[in-house]
Amino acid sequence: MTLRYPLGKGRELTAVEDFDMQIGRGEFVALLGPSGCGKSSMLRVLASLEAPSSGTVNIDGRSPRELVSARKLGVAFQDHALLPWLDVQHNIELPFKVAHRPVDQGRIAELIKLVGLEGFEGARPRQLSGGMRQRVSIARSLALDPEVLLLDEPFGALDAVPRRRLNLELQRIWTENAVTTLLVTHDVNEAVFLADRVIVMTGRPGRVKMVRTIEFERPRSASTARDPAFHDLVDELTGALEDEPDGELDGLEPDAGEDALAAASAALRATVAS
Amino acid sequence: MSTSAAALAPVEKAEGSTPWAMRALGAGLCLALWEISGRLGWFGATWPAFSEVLRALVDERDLLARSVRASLPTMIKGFCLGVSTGLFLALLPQVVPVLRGVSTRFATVVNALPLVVLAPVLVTILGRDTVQVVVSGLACFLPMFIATSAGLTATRPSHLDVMSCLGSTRLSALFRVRLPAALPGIADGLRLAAPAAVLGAIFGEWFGAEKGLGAVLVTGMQNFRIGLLWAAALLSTLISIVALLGFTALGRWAQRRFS
Repeated sequence: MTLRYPLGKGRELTAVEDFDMQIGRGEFVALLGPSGCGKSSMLRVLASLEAPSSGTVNIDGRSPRELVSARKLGVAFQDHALLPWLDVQHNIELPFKVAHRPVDQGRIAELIKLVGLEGFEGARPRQLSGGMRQRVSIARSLALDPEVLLLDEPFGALDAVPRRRLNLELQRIWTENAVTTLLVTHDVNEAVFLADRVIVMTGRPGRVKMVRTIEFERPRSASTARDPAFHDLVDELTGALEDEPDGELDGLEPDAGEDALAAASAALRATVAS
Repeated sequence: MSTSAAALAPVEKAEGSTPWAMRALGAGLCLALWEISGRLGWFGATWPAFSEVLRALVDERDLLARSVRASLPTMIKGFCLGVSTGLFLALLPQVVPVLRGVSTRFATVVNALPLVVLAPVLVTILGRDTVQVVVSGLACFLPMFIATSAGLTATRPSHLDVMSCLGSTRLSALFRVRLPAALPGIADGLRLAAPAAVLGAIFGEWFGAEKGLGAVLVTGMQNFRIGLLWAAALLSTLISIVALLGFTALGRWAQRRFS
């Protein structure tokens, strides 16, 4: 699969090139890459928020669009994207309402319990901490029992300690809802701790650089993270990442490339929205 | 120590109340200046003292009360007409995207027509009574249209992404995300539209209305009843201010609740 964005004046930005990956049913895959390598763009393609310039995405015989129409896709973004005027309960009910399905109050209560937010049903997003907002966002993404779960750096904006705690919780949540999951992150520890398999991407244009299967037994705990084998793997993957320059682009400053990519995805987003 | 604490207390209290005291003082100064300049005739015979305006307000209270009763429904109808047209034109491209250009161009053209020219023409077409409502509506529809359109584009892209991933239709995204996010903008539009509707209604009444504050303004001008003229102007201003304050409060609430 390849993803290109027009930059104007006949120039193009190739965000992702010849990217090939397979995810097994019920597998947890982490996509690891330097910033600006197009890993979030990959996720946007899987969420049918963008279309690939060439190549196809096949999810159990269906396109991302069809998966979305069947309400079988759950997404949690780095920006929690909760609706500020709705409380926790109603934010989690949103997928039911958009799908014109009766709200399953039992399921909502179960999800609120799953993410440990009992007692906060009536709270607005702004009254919650960053970590709590992300829990609501994950609960919302699981509301309709998705077949595929996409997590775009869901804890990217959090500090190290709450982040580690939420990763433990995410593992528990994932074990209880063994759903095919793609996690996009630039945190090596997080990727190794959570995933069955880690895919390392090269810098722009993003390609598959390395694939590692993570064998640590589940449930993984804080002691797993202290295992020397865990550290070796983290070191190896970190080394692979460090070889990659951050989002490099011919004739443009890295920042300009980032801006152009942001502008291009904003334009695409506008097309999707209208 | 205790004396210094006691001495500090009134200072703190005074600090808290300073803005109100200053405001009252400022308003008082303006009124005093108005009174003095009117009595001494600094700006000629058409600039009455504040007390004269108050006297006219009391003396002519029956006429003025009747006029307010005649004008208020016009203002409210004009406000509703303008606001609903502005809302409709701003929402139309959200439902039918190809009409985006049509909406904007229509709004621009209507706004480019000078009301002074348009009103006499409308009198001949619509008759004197309808024209007041239409002129009032025309005056307030553009702020509503612009504020609503701007509010609708203020939606966070990530919210639209979420809706898209949930398989939402455009209409569902409009009602669940775009409109709630636009409510503070819409409240701003109402705040700007209210005084415009008041102004438009009074202006509409200049074109041969028999009753209403606009008609009183014309009579006052023609018969050199300066006190009455100013009393009517003062009442119009008060109506504008009350409407403005009301919608400002609504806007503050919308801002707190929806963003």
